[in-house]
Amino acid sequence: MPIKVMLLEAAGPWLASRPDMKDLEQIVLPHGLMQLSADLKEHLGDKVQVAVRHSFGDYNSDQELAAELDRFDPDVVGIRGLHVYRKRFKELASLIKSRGKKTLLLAGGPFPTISPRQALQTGVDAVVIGEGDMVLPSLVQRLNDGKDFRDLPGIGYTHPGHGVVINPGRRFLQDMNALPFPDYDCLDLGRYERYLTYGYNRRRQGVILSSRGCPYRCAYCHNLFGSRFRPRSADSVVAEMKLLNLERGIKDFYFIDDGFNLDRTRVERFCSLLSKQDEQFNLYFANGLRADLLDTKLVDMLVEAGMVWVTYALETASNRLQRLIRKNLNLEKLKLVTEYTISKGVMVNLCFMIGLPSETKEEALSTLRFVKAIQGLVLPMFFTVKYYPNTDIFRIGLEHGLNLPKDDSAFDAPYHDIGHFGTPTLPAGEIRELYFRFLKEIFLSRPRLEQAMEIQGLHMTDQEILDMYSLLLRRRIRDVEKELIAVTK
Amino acid sequence: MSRELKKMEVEAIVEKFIKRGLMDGQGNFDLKADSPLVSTGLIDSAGLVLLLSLLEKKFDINFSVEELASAELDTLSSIVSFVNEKLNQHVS
Repeated sequence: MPIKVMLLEAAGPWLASRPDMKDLEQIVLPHGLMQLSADLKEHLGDKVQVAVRHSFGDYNSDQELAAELDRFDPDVVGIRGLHVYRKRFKELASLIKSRGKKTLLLAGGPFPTISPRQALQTGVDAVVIGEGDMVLPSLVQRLNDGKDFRDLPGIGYTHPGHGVVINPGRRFLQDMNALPFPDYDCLDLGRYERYLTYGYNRRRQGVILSSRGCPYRCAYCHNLFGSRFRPRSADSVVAEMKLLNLERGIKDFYFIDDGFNLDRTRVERFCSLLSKQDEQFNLYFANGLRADLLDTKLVDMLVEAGMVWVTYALETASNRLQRLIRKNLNLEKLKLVTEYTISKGVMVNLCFMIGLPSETKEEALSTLRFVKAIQGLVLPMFFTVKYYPNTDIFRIGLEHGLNLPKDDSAFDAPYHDIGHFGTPTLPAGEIRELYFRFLKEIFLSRPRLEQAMEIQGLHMTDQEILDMYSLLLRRRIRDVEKELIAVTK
Repeated sequence: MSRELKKMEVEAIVEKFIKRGLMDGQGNFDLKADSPLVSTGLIDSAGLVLLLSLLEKKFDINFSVEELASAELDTLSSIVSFVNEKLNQHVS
């Protein structure tokens, strides 16, 4: 009998905050779990059976999940998730443990990696810290052989006598090309077409991670994958895309790299390979490209290769704050590249955040003016800084006199609305005012919306455009012209 | 139009806007004057600004960003009062 492993994404409502809007939610393939499924199958072959499930997208209730657990009856369940879903982690752990079966319950991903002790408190048996590509197959192999796994590097668990034990972590995987392609057989791909993608459309999606690691030292980053850029080759990435197209008819690829364009030669090779083929793919750099590493030539190549969506992260238009958060972005170059990208008909998402340590109202207003001056942004996005413990920005915040919550309530701040407690230099009331200014003068500006929709019309269906604005405004829009354009100024 | 009629018209617009944004459109949702709207997620800041833009156009009024940010607009009655106050200023 093969060992049965269920890998479960702990998730809940993201942008769509009401149950009646679930069909508008952005639910993306759980790429990390699909990679682990491929790793397990490569190492263990028919000795393992894997199911990957999304706890929010695949089920309408925990009863449905419980019923599937009864049917599949896994020997191992691995829950993966972000800090923001740590309460969901606990609920899922309770649900699985309440079955009374001898199921080994593991936790992995960003939350357990950054906060393993907190993750162990959710009721799981052990945490897998860092990249699970090597650890999880070894762990399941040990189980299959009837051996203890708790001495494996990168494992954390609670010892009855010694309390929490965290084994020294494994090194990062060095050769990314050695990984098998993520497993698309372990889930129902069609289910994900019911939801919106990272590009706010409904497509048969391919999710691509072409690299791990980033040498930049941005103070707000968890730095989950380490500081060394570890790319897959362009040939490997394109081969994966072509295979997904051939076997599953996927044409829309959503990239989730932290630094896809850190190696220019690799990007040029990638573009060259895609441009030569007959089939046109749509590329969405949803997690962003670093704008000041691009130029008009490289943007042209990316457009030729199929880029239809890109996110650029401005963060702040203040050079002083750029240095403070160690992003050190070349603002002039970002502006030029953003405007050029828009001129090529690409949907551009420009993100920034307000509430940085020592940020003044004037600096925040300068960021708004910077964003407002760029014509044709499809999605300008206002975020407030979330001060997560164990990040440099948390430490810098404390140094600048921010009264940061010592508990984990920072993780509860809503993703899509302001929910910021303010700073000594930018009180909560002023952040609220800045947000309303953004909504009134930028996001809901009629000229911006008209320009945005002209570009969106090149790549999205009318229904997808309705869905995108319904999600962003968290209300059911049925007629963009009447309910949005005609209402705004 | 009398102040009372305008107030009723504002109420009707706000109610229609809230209901139309829900999945069931004009369905059975019972919107009371003191039902929390923003804090329960029925409408968020972006929706609120869109609603006020609609009212600005309808009644030829203008809300400053400072007014929007400082107002507590969580219920039908608070939104209606906020708009009425502006309408009254406009008339006087």
